Amino acid sequence: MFAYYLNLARRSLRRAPGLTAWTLLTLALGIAACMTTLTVYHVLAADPIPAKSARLFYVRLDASGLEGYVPGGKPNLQVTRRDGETLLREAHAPRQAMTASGGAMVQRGQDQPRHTEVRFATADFFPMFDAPLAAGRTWSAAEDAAAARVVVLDAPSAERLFGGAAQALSQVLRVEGQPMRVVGVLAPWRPTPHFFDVTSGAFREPAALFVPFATAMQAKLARSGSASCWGDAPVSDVTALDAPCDWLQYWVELKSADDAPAYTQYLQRYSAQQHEAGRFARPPNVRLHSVMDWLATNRVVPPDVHLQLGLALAFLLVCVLCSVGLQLAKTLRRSNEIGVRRALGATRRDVFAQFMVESLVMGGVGCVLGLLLSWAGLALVRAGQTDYAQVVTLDAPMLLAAMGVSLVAALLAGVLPALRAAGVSPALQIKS
Amino acid sequence: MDLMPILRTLRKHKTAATLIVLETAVACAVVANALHLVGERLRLLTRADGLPSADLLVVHAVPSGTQDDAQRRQITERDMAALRALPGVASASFVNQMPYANYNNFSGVSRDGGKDARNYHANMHAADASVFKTLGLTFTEGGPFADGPTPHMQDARDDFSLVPRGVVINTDLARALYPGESALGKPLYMVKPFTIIGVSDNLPMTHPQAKPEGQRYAALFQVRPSVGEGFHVLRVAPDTSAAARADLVQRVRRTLMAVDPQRELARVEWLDQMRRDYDASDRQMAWLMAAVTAVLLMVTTGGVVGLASFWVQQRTRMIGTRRALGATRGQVLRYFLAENALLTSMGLVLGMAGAYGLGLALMRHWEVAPLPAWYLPAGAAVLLALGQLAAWIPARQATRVSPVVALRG
Repeated sequence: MFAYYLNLARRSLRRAPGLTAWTLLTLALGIAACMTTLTVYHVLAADPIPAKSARLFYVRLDASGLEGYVPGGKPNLQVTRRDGETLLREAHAPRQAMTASGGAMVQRGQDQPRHTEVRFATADFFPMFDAPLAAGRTWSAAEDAAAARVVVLDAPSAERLFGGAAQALSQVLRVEGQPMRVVGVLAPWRPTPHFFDVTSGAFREPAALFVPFATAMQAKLARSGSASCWGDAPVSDVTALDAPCDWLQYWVELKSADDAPAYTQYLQRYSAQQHEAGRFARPPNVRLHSVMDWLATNRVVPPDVHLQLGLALAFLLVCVLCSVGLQLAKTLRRSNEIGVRRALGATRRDVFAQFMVESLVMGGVGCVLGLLLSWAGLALVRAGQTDYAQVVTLDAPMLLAAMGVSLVAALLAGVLPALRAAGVSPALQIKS
Repeated sequence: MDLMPILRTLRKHKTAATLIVLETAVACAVVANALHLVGERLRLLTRADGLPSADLLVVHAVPSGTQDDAQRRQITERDMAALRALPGVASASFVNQMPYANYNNFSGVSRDGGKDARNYHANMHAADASVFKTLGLTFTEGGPFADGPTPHMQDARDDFSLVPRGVVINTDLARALYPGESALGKPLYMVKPFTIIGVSDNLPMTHPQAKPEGQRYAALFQVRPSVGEGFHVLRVAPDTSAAARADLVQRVRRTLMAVDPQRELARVEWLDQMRRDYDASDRQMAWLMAAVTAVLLMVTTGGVVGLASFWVQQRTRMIGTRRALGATRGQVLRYFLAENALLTSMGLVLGMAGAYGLGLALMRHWEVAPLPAWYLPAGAAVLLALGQLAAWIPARQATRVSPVVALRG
C-alpha cells in the first residue's frame, strides 16, 4: 500500500510542478534557516568538557575595597594573586589550578622573535581540563614551586617551530629573552567555548605556549585579558603578589558535584579569616560556578545568536503556514480524484494515509534541499567575521535534528490538507 | 462596496481564511521587529566618531622582550622623531589606547573622591600635547593642555603627583559629573584631585558600543606612554593619494624596524579599516536580518498567491454567475481585492499586537531599544501592499472567467 501511495504522490507532485517546486522551496528555506541558526546555537552553547563539567568549579571571592559596596552584590569576577596562591597552597580540593593569559616575544635560535599568546598556569591545569598530550610531559607541582624554566607548546606551534611534536621536545626557546626548555607538546586541542578563560573572547584558540605561573611571574611576562583594581593608591604592577587587583582565574576539580557545598563553606571560612585579618574590606561573599553555570553567567552565547534563532523559528512558522495553504489549494483541486477513489472503496483513513505519504515525500525532499541550503548558510557563517566563525560545524546530532525538524514541519504542513482531503464526500464529486 | 457578501463567503472557507490571517499576522510581527533591529544596527554602523579616521594610521609595535624601561623610552623617542620626519606625516603621537583596537584601560573617577561621591567608569587616555593635533580633538568648552613637561607612564604609576593637574574629558563624562552646569575649571578626582580644563566632543571611546550607552566616559591625562604601552598614531593630510598612503605604510614599517629590528609590528592599519573590522559582526547581522525579512516577505506573498488562486478556482462558477448577472470585470476584481484586504487587515491587527509584544520581549531579554511606534503601521502598510499585489494575480484571472461558465454544468 505504501508503495502505491508513494507512486500516487510522485504522480501528483509531477502534475503541478510549479506549485510543488514553490512549496518545496518554502519548506526548504524554513528548514535551512532553522538548521543554520540551531547549529550555531548548538556549537556555541555546547558543553566543552562533558565528562567533568559538573564537578569543575570556578571560584569567586569578594576581595574588593568598600567603594561601590552593595550588601548581597556580586563578588569579583577573578581572584587576586595573593588569594590564588593561598588557596593553591592549602590545596583543599583534589585538584586546583590558577591561570591567566599573557603574551611574550618568543624566539627560536637566532630567528626574528614572534609575539606569542601565552597561558600562565599551575601544574593541575592540564589533567583538570583534559588537555591531550602528544609528546613529553607537563610540569610538576615541584617545578611550579621552583619556577622552573620549562614550557609546553601547542600542536601548531611545535609543527611550525620544530616540524613536529617529537622534534620539539627538549628544544630551548627564548621567551622575552630568557631560555626555557620545551618539556611537552599538546595534541590539537580546541575546547569550545574556551571555558577556562572567557575574559578575552569565549571562542578563541587556547594559547600557543604554556608557562608555569611562577616562571611567568619571575620572568615578568606581560599579562593580557582583563584586570580590575581597587583602592585609592595607583597600582604600578597589577601582577605584584599583594596588588589589590583581580586578574586570575581559579578552578577546582571536586570528586563530585556533591562536594560543592563543603568547598563553598571552606571558601566562606577563608573569606571570614581574611575579613577579620583586615585583608578583605567586605564581609564574606563567595561563589562557586560549575562550568555550564559559569558560561551562562558570562553569556558566552552572543545575544545576536539568540535573536537569529528566534527569527529563524518565526520564519519556519511562516513557511509551514504558507506550505499548508499551498498544499490545501492543491488538495482541494484534486477533489475529483479523491471522490473517485472513495467511490471505488477507499476509506477516509486510506485517503488520509495517501495524503500524509505525499507530505512525507515533500518532507524528505524538503529536508534534502534544506540541508543543502543549511550547508550554504553555514559556509556563510564560517566566512563571516564573528569571533565564533571558525568553530561552527555541522555534526551528527544536528543532522538528525535537521531530519526531525523537516519531518515535523512537513507533517504539520500536511495534516490539515490530508484531513480536508479525507473529508471529501464521494457523491458530490462524482456528480459533476 | 458591500462587505456582507464577502464575510458570508469567508465563513464558508474558515480554514483558508484563517491561514491567510495567521500568515499575515506572524509575518507582520516578525517583519516590524526585524526591520527595527536592522535600523538599530544601521544607526550603530553610521554613527560619527568625530575622528579623521581615514587619515589616521595606527601602529601597534610589540617590543622585543629584552629591553628595560629606560631603553623603551629611548626607543619611543627615536620612533617618534623618525616618524615625524617622514614626508607626508602631518602629525604623530604616541597614545596609550585607540578605539576599535580591542584594548581598553578604565579607571574610576568622581567629582571629589569623597566616600559617597558617585564613581564613573572612564576610559583613561594618556598622551602628550601633540595628541590634540593628531586626533583632531575638538572642544565644546575650554581647550587642550599646553605642551610642557610630561611624565612617563611608569613614573606616573609610581608617583601620581607627577601628573600635571589639567585634564580633558569628553562631553558624556562632563554631563554626568556636572549635570546642567559647565564642567570647566571644576574638579575631577582620580587617585588625586585634577582640574577639568577642556571638554571634548570627540575624545574617543576604545569600545564605542559599550552598553549602556549612557556610560561612555573618557578622560585624557598628560602622561607619556612608551612602546609596549600603546600605539603610534600618524596623521596625513586628507588629500593624500592612495598610492602615497600605501607608500607611507611601507615607510613606517621600515622606519620602525630600523629603530628596533627585533620588534614585531602587530598592526599597521588605517583607523577607518579598523572601524570596519570592529563593525563587521554588526554589519553582518544587519545584512542577515534584512535578507531574512526579504525572503520572509517573498514566502508570505507566495503563500497568499497560492491560497487566493485556489480560492478563485473554487469559485469559478460563482464568478461566472455574477458576470452573467451583469457584474463588470472591474467589479469582480474589486471584490477579490476587497476580500483580500479584509483578511490581511485582520491579520495585521493581530500582527501589530504581536509585533508590540515581541518588541517588549526583545527589550526585556536582549537589551534591544524599544520598538518605535511608527514601525507598526509601516510594517503593516508593506504587508497590505504585498497582500494586494499577491491577490491581484489570481483576481485578474477571475475577471477572465466567461459568463458562459455559469450556464454550463
